Amino acid sequence: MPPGKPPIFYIPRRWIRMIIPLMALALTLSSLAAYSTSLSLQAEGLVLGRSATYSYDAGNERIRDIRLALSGDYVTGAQAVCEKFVSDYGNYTVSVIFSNGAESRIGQVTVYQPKGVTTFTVSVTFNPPISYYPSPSVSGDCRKVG
Amino acid sequence: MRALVLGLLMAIMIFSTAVIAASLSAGVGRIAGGSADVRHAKVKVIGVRDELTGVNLKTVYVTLLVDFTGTYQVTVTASNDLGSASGSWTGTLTAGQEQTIAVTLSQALKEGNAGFTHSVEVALL
Repeated sequence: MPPGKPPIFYIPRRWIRMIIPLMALALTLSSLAAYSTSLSLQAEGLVLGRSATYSYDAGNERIRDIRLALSGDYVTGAQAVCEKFVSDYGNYTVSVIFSNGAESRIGQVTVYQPKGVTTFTVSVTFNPPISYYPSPSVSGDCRKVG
Repeated sequence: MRALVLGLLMAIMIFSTAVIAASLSAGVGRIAGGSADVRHAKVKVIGVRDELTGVNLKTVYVTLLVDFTGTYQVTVTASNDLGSASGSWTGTLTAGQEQTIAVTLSQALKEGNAGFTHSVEVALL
């Protein structure tokens, strides 16, 4: 240490050559990290409910259409259209399951359908209503039960 | 020399702190809806209807409800045990109105032993 220099403020010159670029690099990287975090948060928050999944069953009777009944952000029920063979008749059970990723509800109804009918519509109720968000998925099933 | 070094260090620290503060406040502002120029939207896919021609699925009708009027891109991917097919629709959706759009799949998807599964993706352009 050169004479006359206060020890607390003394920084060797060769250290300075290393410290300044390192500090600049660290601060630049931290700034970039903060900015990229804010950008990714923005992208996630831009559109709520960006994706949904609807699954329809197989078999002789098939769901062709499901429409949710909403009250604000809550799903209170659904309307489902089932397609069957025109020559078949009997009791048909239609089930609709809604899930928001955290919880699910099932609505089910059994109705009689005569010959000559190819499609019929039923309404089911979810009790209690369930939030639509965050990850909505719907599945429907229609089958002859007797 | 020491004053120059300390001055440089101070300048770098002040600049970096300002950049971090600005980026964080911008991010928080966007998420909280505090910035007027950033769009937020709540989308609900409230219905999906299959239209088959014989045993082929070619068109899927999607009913949507949005709370932000804007240009949206809706992509539907239908799949079953025989394969998958996708289609997109781009257009304007009006806030507060249920709207049904027709999405034509790039190729017809034949009905198989399994039912159809539809994945609907909505993007605000």
